[in-house]
Amino acid sequence: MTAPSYHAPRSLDDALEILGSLGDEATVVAGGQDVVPLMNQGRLAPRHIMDISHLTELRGIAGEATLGGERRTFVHGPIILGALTTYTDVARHPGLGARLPLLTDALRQMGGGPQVRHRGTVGGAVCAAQPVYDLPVCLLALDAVFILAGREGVRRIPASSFFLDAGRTARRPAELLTAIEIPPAPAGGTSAYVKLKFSEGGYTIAGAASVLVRDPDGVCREARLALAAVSRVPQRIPSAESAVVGGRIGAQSLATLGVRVEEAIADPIDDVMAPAPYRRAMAGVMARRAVAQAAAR
Amino acid sequence: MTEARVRLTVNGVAHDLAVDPRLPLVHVLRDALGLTGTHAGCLTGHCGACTVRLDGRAVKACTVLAASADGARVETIEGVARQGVLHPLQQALWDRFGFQCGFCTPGMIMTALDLLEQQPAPDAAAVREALAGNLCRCTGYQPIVEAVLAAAEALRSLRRRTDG
Repeated sequence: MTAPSYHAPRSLDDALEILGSLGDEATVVAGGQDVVPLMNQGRLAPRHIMDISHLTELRGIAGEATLGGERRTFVHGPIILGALTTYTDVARHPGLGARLPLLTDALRQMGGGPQVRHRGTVGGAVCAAQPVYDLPVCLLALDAVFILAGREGVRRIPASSFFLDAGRTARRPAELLTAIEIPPAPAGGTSAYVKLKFSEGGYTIAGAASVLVRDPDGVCREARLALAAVSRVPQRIPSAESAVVGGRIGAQSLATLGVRVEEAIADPIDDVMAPAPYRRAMAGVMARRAVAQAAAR
Repeated sequence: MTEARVRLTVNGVAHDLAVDPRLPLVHVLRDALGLTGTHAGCLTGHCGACTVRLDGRAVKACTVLAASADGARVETIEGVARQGVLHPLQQALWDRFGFQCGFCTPGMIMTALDLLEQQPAPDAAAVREALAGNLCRCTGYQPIVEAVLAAAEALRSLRRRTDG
């Protein structure tokens, strides 16, 4: 097996130029947490390696504003996460956790230790599109938009149409994911992410991301619920969401929500980690917990 | 090109190498530079035996392409003891039976050194969280956690003495 060609551009423009010339056979490497182990195992044999880890222009978090002489974080506008922002960058950012507690929840429950968080990137997690990953489902619940750049220009793809299958996304081979845009939450918005795994470093059996918008009197105006590790792509469950909208969230509406989650999962993942019926049942439990936790915030 | 140029500083020594772009950093450290203290365990990012510090932060060297580390400062277990004297963390692991077979120990140490630099006075929960990506099949972890806590204390008192 001949060694692949290796490209490590230092600017986005150069990267897009090279990627455009490589046809559809380039493997993009960012933090390497998904791709490099696959290569080590011989499950992936790239013909061309496009190493984007040196594109520092794609790393960072934007959305801060200085108001009244005081630095406030994310008062109104959207939050932009550069694709090469690491998990550690997200965890350490002052203000981001208060605004998007489900991201903090997801990072806390992620396996692999600090080494993975230091190196793993938000864009890498999205483009790897592994069903067991936590970040894609959180971004789906947040109505995030993915910004893709290519030689021909920029496309904005909502999370709801980005994930096509396990490991397959709407990104074209000559495009790079450059940023993730998270729209501002309306007043009264809160969120939580809860998952089940069998050991600290174990893979997700079922995960649930919940975003709620409630009136000051506690009546739920809007609910978004998305599930991880249950289907081959992150999945919203509208029938379950509607179970908690229009009233205060309590034991009864949560029970209905759990039942509707189980009903809505047509074909759960069935593998060595967990059989399909167990995954379905646990998806209902995680969904109830995530919504209850968001409601308690 | 089918070879990638990598300029690395490993434990303070500069290297200029041409590597197969598929190789993870752990293989280049071991096979090209002969630094076999960094262990190659699972090669899937799970076990943490290959942990080194890359520009100061702990990373699993089987998940980083050696080519990606171009321009980086790498610290491995070989750079931890000075002039044959164990680092306080190594001494604490020795004193408290923090290893048996020793396969995981270099990775444990590199991860814990990153923690102690970021957080000089961690509690047991913080140590356990920091070591969550390092697997040990011998010790049951308890003596490792105790050794990291003892090393934190030793490093703090060392610092007090030097500062005072």
